[in-house]
Amino acid sequence: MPHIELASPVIFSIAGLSITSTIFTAYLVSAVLIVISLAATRRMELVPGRFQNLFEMAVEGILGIATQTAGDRRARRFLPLVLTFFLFILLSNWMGILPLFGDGEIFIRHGVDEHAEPLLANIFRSANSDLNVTGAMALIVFVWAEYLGFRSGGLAYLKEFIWPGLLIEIIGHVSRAVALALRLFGNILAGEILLAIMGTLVPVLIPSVFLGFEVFVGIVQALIFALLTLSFMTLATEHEAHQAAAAESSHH
Amino acid sequence: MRFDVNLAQAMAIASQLAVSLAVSVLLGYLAGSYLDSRFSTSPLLSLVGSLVGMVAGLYGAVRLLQIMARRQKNKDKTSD
Repeated sequence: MPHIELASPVIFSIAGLSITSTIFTAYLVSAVLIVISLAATRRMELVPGRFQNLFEMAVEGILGIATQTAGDRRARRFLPLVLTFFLFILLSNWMGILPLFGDGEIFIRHGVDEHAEPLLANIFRSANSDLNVTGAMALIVFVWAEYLGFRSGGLAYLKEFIWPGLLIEIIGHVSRAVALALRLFGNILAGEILLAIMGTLVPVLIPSVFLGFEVFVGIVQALIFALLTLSFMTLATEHEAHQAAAAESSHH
Repeated sequence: MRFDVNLAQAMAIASQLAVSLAVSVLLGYLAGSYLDSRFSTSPLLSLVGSLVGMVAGLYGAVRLLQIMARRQKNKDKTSD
């Protein structure tokens, strides 16, 4: 019976630092995003070319969504982080279904022997199928949202922690971040396992249907993570919005 | 087809709430279980921790939904 290994395999080490297949994919995705971003913004024109136009569409699309949720001022402030998460997750998810990227095969081995050869020699895995990667992103969201909350609300934000109970409030805030990491990890890992099992059971035609499905899941999960990041930051800075609204109404 | 931000956000939050409820209970249990092992009170604090986690999950869910509903109401008011 094949069994599933959750831990990502180490593919090489640099100065004692183990580079796993998921971390390698994360570096690869980051490199691709940096190169594309530099290329898209290198010679920006007032009348954009095709490449610039494509990226302007992506930025304006996410900015439009963010504006509807957080208002214009806060949307522009949150956009860099939200868009970075969206593009990173989207590209990682989509890369995970490319050839050479393990559809889970790398961690499905025959028998329970730890040294058994993997079914296929696919070396890479989607970065989001590693809880460490999704956990790191969720940690960034958690720390950043709390910082924004303290900065914008000050004592009023701290007061929220006193009633109905410090422990309840802390569990509530931490569980949001943990849930954020677990949901993305679970969905992407489940997709990879599904592809691997389908590929093993019916190697022809049927996996194509699931590959198409994974393209859809990839964009939905990236959007959900970006929207939730935006929601948490918006909720953390509600005090700021109230103060701005009160100041505006006192002007009129 | 027009992309409905409100619908997408509602779906994102609904999926988040389901996982968040379970994670809250788990976090409460883990905290209680750690305290149980420190003070040899097993299984009392694990049970209390699970209950606090459950309350925290529900409270967090209700608060998140209340804030989202209030925001939606304000949004509807300004669009009128």
